[in-house]
Amino acid sequence: MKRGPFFTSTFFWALIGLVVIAFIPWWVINLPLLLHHQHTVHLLSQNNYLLHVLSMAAIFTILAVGLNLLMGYAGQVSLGHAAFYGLGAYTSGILTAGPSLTQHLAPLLALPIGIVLTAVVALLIGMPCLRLRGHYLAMATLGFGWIIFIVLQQWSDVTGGISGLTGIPPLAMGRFAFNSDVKWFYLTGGSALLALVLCANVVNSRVGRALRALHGGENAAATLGVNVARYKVLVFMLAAALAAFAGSLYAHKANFISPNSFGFIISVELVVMVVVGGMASVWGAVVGAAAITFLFEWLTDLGQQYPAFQDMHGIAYGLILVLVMVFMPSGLTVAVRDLVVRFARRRRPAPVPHPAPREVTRV
Amino acid sequence: MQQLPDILQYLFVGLATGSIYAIVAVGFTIIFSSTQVVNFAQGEFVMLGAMGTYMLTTWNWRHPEFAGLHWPLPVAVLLAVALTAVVGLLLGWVLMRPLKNASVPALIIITVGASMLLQGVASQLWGRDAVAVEPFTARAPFATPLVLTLPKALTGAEAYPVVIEWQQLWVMALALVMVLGLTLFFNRTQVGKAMRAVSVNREGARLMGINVSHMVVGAFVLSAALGALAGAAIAPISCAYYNMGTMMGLKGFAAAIVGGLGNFTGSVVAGLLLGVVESLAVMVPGLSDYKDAVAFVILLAMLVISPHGLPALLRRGKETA
Repeated sequence: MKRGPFFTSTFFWALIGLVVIAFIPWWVINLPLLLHHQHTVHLLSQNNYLLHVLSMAAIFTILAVGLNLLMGYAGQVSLGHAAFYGLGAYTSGILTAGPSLTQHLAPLLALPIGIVLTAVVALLIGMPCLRLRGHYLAMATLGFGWIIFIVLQQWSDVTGGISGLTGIPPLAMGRFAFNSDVKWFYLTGGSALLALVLCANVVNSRVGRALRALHGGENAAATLGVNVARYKVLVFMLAAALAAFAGSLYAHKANFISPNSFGFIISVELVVMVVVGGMASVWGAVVGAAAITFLFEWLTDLGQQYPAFQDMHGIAYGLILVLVMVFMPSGLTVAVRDLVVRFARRRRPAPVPHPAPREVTRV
Repeated sequence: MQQLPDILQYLFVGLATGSIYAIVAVGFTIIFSSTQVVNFAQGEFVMLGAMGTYMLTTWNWRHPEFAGLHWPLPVAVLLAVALTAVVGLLLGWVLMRPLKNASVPALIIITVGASMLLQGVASQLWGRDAVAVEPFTARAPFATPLVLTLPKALTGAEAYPVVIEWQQLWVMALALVMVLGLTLFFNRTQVGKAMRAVSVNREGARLMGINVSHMVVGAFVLSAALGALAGAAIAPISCAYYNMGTMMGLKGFAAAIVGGLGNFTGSVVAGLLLGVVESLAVMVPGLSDYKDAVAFVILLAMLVISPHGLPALLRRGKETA
């Protein structure tokens, strides 16, 4: 396999991401202080609202990138993805602070248990539904999402019911605990980067090529010996496992979880992130997750300031979904990128007399 | 058999709720068979019918100058149905363009988006509180002596009759009329036959001179009107609120799947069955908290066992036997 230019490689983008993540907390906390001629502060113990929002964006990036693979490559929608997120969060929450348990696990042990459990559940749902084409996975996940939501609300002995689970301990390794917004930003940002690199590598691997073949045409892929159903189930499991990981991170970060963080509207929100980020675009997931996380915060703020604009989230999400899908079915950022590329090509007349071997690298 | 009167009562309530699920399921079926789109905004049609009726019957009652301008209920219901049909028309029209590319995720996402949008608009227009809607006939519920005539051994010592509300009868009658009307429409009228032709083979229908896009939009309008009528009928029993469509739509949707997606009779039977099962589930100790989950467990189990619904399962059973 021939390599593309260095600046299109996953490694390059991961490096850039690492540098950006490393410096963000410093900018966010110290720049305002420097502008007011105050001393910079020791970073790791600082708390900051913006950093909290950025951490949430990172958590949603982990969720969106998995869903993005599922929607972009397997051509399937999960309308209950928040349920997998919730499974991860509640497995962590119950095992580390559940009221029905007398002995609790360490957060670092609960996290992988949640991931494995969720992946197995995804396997059980995905196997029968992904053998068939069409809407079946969307329906099954929709039903599953509601079942999980109702169980989380009603099984109050174990899940804490509507009032939720409190007192979930933060992640800790030995004596080092993640107990400040800066530490959490580094953890969630790093995890998001890891998830992105993982997914980018999956896309560029043998599995990824099979998936891209699926994307091009299922019949053709099947004729070439691609086990269509198996790859779809694999992607679905990966998406669910990533969601569980994100959920576990969220539970330990927020120290409190309640069913409302994992309801149908959150599943829709995740779909909005993918739609904005663009289908089959791993790095677009970051854009989508960040944009929608900030949009959510902004709308909540707006509603608090002007009562007339309360609860606009549904309208905003609905409009985005309908408009983007009708006019740009490949998603917002992908459509914008294609537009930019087309514009650039038009400015420079094509200088290629003979077709160069082109490596398809989706970034 | 101490609980026999209870069972009969729950059975009746279940049949009434099931009739609504059946109508919603039929709405899904009409759209699915002509477009292969699963319309996740179907429940919103029900909500619009209910909220529209509420709005029109209580038109501006807060403003003294409009006092006395209440619309009579039949007019209000008809207007609400017409308004919802317009919304259905818009949705069908919006979906025309993506339908040509036929990407399943895009179609699902658009209907989900439309559902969010309609819910959001409804909550802005009418608020988030549940409102009461007039029943079709304002008469007190009556008790059937049916159970009293059963032998004492069956009913237990303190036998009491099944209480029936007029609105429940209305709902069931409406479902029956709709099913009969739709059967006639799809089998006897030119337009109905054209719609069926489109569902069987879109290209073939187009070659036969049927205007496919008109049929697709027509399916949306028909389905929206049916949903709205169901909403106006159920609202007096269950109250009307901005997100009542979510549960209503999803239950109807579960019924449509169990009935075999696209199967007209199947979805009616499945809707009734679902209503009854859900209603009887309340009687099982410990299960009543999870009443809403029953439909989804059935949906999920159906998809895992036999994704093409109960009819396919029965057919398969017959073949192997």
